[in-house]
Amino acid sequence: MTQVDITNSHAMEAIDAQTFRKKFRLLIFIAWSVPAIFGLSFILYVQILSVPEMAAVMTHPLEPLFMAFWFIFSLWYFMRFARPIVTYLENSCDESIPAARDCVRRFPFHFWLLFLLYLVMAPVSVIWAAELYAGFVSQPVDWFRINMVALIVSIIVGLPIFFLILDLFGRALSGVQMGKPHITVKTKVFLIGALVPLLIDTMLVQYYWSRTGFFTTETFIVWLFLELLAIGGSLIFVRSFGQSLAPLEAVFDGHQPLLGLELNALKSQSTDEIGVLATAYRNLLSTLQMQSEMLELNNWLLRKTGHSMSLESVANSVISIADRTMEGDMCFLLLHDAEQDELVGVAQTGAKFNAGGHFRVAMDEPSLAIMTFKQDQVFAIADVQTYPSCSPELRQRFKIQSALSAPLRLEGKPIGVLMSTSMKIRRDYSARDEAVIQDLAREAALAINTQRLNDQALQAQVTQHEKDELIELLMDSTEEAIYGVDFDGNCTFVNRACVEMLGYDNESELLGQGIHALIHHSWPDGSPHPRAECAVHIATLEQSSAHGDDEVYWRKDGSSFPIEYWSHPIRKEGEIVGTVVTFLDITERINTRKELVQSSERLGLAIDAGDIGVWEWDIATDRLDWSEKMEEIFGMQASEFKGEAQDFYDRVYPADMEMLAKDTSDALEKNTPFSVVYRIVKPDKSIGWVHCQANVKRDASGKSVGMIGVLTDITAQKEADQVVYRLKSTLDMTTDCVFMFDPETLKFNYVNLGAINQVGYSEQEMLDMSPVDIKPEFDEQAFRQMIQPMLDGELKQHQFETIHRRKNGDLIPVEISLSYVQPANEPARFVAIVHDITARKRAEGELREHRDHLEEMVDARTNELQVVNKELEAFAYSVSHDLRTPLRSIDGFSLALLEDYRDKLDKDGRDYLSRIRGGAQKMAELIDDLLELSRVTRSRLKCEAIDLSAMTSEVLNELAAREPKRQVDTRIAEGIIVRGDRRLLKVVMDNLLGNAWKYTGKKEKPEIEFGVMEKNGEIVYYVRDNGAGFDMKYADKLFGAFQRLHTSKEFSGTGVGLATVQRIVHRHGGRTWAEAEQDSGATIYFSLGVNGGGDNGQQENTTGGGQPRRRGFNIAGVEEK
Amino acid sequence: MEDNPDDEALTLRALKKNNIANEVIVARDGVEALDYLFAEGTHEGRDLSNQPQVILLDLKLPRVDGLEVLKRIREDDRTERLPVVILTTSNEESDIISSYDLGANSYIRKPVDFDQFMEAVRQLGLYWLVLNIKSPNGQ
Repeated sequence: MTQVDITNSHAMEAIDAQTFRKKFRLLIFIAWSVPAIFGLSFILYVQILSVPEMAAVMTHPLEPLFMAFWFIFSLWYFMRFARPIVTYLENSCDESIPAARDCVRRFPFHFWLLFLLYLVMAPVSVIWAAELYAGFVSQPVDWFRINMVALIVSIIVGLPIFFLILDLFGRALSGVQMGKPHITVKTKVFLIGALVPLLIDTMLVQYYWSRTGFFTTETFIVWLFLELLAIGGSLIFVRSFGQSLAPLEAVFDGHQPLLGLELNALKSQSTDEIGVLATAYRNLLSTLQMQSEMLELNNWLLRKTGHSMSLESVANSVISIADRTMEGDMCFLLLHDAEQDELVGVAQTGAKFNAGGHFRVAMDEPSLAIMTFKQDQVFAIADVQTYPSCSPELRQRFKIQSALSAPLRLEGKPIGVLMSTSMKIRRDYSARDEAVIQDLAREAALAINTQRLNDQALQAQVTQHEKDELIELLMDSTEEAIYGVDFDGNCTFVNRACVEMLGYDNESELLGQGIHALIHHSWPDGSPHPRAECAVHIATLEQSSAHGDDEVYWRKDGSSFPIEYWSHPIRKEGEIVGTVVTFLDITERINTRKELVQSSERLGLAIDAGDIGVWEWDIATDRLDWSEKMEEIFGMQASEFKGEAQDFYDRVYPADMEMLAKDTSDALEKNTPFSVVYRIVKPDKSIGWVHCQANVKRDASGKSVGMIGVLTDITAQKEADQVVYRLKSTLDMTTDCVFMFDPETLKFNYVNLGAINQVGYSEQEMLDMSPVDIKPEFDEQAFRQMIQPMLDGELKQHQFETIHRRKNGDLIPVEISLSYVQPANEPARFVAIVHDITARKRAEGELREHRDHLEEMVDARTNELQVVNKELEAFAYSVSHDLRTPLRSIDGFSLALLEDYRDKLDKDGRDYLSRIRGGAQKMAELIDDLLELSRVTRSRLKCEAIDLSAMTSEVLNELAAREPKRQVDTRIAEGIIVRGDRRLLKVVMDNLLGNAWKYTGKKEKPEIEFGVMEKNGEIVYYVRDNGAGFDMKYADKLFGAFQRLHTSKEFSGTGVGLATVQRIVHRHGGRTWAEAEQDSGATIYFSLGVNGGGDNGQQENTTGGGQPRRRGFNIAGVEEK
Repeated sequence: MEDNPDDEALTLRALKKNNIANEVIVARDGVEALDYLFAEGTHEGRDLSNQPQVILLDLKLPRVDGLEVLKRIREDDRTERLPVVILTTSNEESDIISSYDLGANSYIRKPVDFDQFMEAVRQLGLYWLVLNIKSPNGQ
């Protein structure tokens, strides 16, 4: 890194106007004197003119005049260029700068114009003078040589002088913005590079010419060639210089401020010190720019102090500045999240600020940021691939190849990381880059800190504001009046209570006023109360507090009120600045105190007047002090009581001692009220009743220290109470209600417990009421009318039913027996014995209701049943249709197969088809049976008289006709006539007899019997056979649908028959059961209940020769169910 | 009229087995039956003078049921005297009563046992096609 060492540079002192003028004149003088002297000497030296010739020239007026003219003219002419600069130097005002700058700009042209004119004219004047005065005859060669001399002189003298004048200008105008340069370095280099060889060359030519007198065309050509070479060379120099200077020239081009320069234009194109300087200059500018931007940011932050500013704007600004300053592709700003202990990437080039972070890096992850943060130093990584600590994930995501990172430090501790990354591998990170990023990081940390501090300050402001509001609220919500006064006694603040208490409308009437004069101006008696005597004022002066409760404050309306006040001085930095006073209106307290005194006086009076003893017990000493009345109550002689607690306990009735002790300890420990009635034993052994009430005395800490109480003798009252109590409790024990009321006012004067419970009012409430209040059916007039006959003595007792209304509004039906009693020495009264007849009434009501509802219920049930029946019918209908149809197909096509393909089927095939047909037919049978079963349930019973005996014969004949070969012994009871549904009973008989017929099929002597018998008052019909029978343990299954006790192989059947039978019998109100024995036959019994009974006379008559039939057997059937 | 193709095949078989060679027209639902009888719809233009000798009518038919068909037959004076035999699976009392109420000439329940069915068809054919004398204006 290259630095400009200012101490080594040729520092020029500033120049004042006088010196400048002097020096400028001198230089102009030299410029027009030295060339002449030098030129003339040179002419002598190279012997163009001889000494006498020269003397002649100089002694004659032409040449001296020529020279003098140029002195004076040039001085006169050039002073115009010096004057504006002198003016500037004298006044140092900005207005003179443009003129001065203009002088500098025009000066070189005028200088060289006059100088060359002089150089052209000087040889002419010399030769002319020599020819005129020394007889010199000039040759063309002489002209040439003299002009050469002039050239040499002009270069030797004119050039340095010119530079000296420029330097003088520079010194005079140092610090003045020059704009574009007028004499560029390139011009200077060209002048020197081209003119110095010309000078040397010309001098050599002159010298050898004068020595040898040799000058040929060849010499001239060589001379000219060398000149051209010199000019060409100097042009190459200039070009090289130009390249070095080019970046710096960019600075002159723009009119924009230096910090706004496009820094890329300042890229150095040469390797010399100017190039290095340009680079340094450029870096300097870049740093400056960065710093100025950061400065601007920090300034902005400072300006914004007190307003909310977001971390977002700060972070985004930092990133954009870093992006402009660092020559990378992306910049990242990561902040440390102290809570999670992670680095959070909050801002990055090309992405918006995100407080939550675009990414998060944990402290233990491999990451350049983490490394920078932890090690707290700058890292420049040329190739991240070679650096294992760099986060591979971010490398992948952002295509980072190289990176530069610096920690953000605050008070020596890192708070984040600033990182500039590049997508190229960069081996050119320099110390300067590191310095810049460090600067950036430092400024960024400052900015972030400012933002944070501001945030905290704002937060604190908000908190402070809340606190102030809270205090204000507290002040205004307290009932105590508060005001503050400054040292001069002027009010500084008041709260709401204070304003209100003092009777003012608002606080502005008090604020800033001398408060003492307003509210504390007089003593309670109205005499003036000067401030100097005011306790508050005195306390303030003494820097102490004051308290008082015997003064008054005066309201706005002139009235006063007693107060209690507290004053405390307000200190600020150790100095007393005022006082805050709190006060309370104690009018009420004083009144209460007065009342207390009055009431205690009254109490003393009451105690004396009533027979009340007073006692006081001190726990610590166990002393008990009694008033005289106490001894009287206890039946003791005056002063007989010794004043010890034990003396008292000895007189308590022993059985009450425990209760007394418990109540005492409860009062002491649990603070329950102490009010006890207990017995005492008087010295004459008689028992007395006392009522004792007491308060517990407590010390400041709440500990009980004693008791003070009163004691009343209630013996007489207690005895009277006992008698009444016994009577009352007797009455209360009766369940009936007893009411007594006054015949005049009708008010109750006694009600027993039953009465209270009945109407729900308390005894107290009842005593304020009359019978009319609880009898909604009566008004007072009607009631008085009703009792009038009894008052007149016409009626002794009146019984009636009415309604009582309970307190909650319920109505109770009651039966009342009312009497009028007139005891000898007591007022007459009515006594009412009231009996609640709710239960009776309810029973009556329910009976009535039940009757009313019965029919409705029956109707409802019937409707329900009809609906169910309808559904059942629909089901049965579709069963009869839809289930049979496919069966028919099975059977039909099986038969078709058997017929059409008989020859193609073997014996097994035919057998199988027969089985299929058998199955289908069996299924059809089952369906028919099921339909029958369901039909039994849903068809309506059409009851008529039926001759079962005849029906039995008919069925048996049908069976016999089907199997004419079988010989069955049948016995049929004659003349059995029942009432029932013919069709259904036919189904019953079909099934029962069919079964009997079927199960006797394997017997040698089959017997079937149909009969009737009476069992437990029930008429029972039966069908008996001597067939296969069954095991009685399966009897319960017999009547279930699809239940069979035999295999199909033994006896065919569907298992539905007996279920159908049972259902039909049930529909007739009867029941079925069976008795059997395996292989010995079975008997199926059935009765016909309510619908099947022969309960009319006609049937009874027609039973004829059958078994006798009992009247009403159907009822027995119902009971059986 | 018969909607079940199985029943149709079986009935035809029964007729054939019983050597009843008369022409048999099968209608698959009530609408088709009525169309045929009244020469409407798909049977438009049929010669109405050629009416069947006997109609075997199932009660459960799609679209228009058997009882409705019967009712229409009896309502129309062109068909009112045609003999109608109800041949159905149902033996519901209500069906039987309704059929007779509407003027069925006979009610036969199709037995599942095909032997019985054959017998029933045999007797039916014998009676209605051979023994029975048609009403002269029964067309």
